[in-house]
Amino acid sequence: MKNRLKVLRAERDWSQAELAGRLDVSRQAVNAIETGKHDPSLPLAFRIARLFGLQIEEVFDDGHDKD
Amino acid sequence: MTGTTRTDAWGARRADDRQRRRRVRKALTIAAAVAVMGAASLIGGTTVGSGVTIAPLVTAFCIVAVAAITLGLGWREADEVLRRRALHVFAAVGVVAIVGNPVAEMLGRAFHIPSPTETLWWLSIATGVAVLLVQRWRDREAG
Repeated sequence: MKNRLKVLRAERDWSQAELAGRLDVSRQAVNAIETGKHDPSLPLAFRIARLFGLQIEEVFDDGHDKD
Repeated sequence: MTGTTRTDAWGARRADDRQRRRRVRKALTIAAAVAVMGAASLIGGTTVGSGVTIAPLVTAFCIVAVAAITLGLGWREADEVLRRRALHVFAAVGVVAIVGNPVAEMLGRAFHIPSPTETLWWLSIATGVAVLLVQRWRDREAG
């Protein structure tokens, strides 16, 4: 699944470690999600979206257009 | 922008704390393992009434206890990515141990290997370490 995590993080000038600390996950987790190697669980996806003040679909893109 | 800058980078400090806790846990695990080995050598000659040496039993119990506590603490501390990595490692170790057991038994009989199951045990551990390293290397490549 594609996501805008790297862009959103860069907009706030946050390092991966900074974002990891704010989400209470490891830096490896942030890296794996950013590079698309890991699709986050629903609770973590909600936490990410909430941290940036966005809806989940504004952060993650499953490749399907809305009807 | 809703976020803050690096000057009040509480997230990075929290990540550092998390890293520090992992290092402390690793150090405590090593200390506990050394203590178990030391204790086992100290009580090596102790026997119970029936003449059974209790050192192997105590050592085995301590090793299992240290492993269980370490895994439990690590699992609680880990996030979903680290847990997935750990599950891949456990799966690889398990598959090698299960599939390799009859093969090791046969090869042991055919080639007169003294303890084929012990060799298999080491092989499964090596497989687990290899899977762990490959996962870390692939993630680093992607990063």
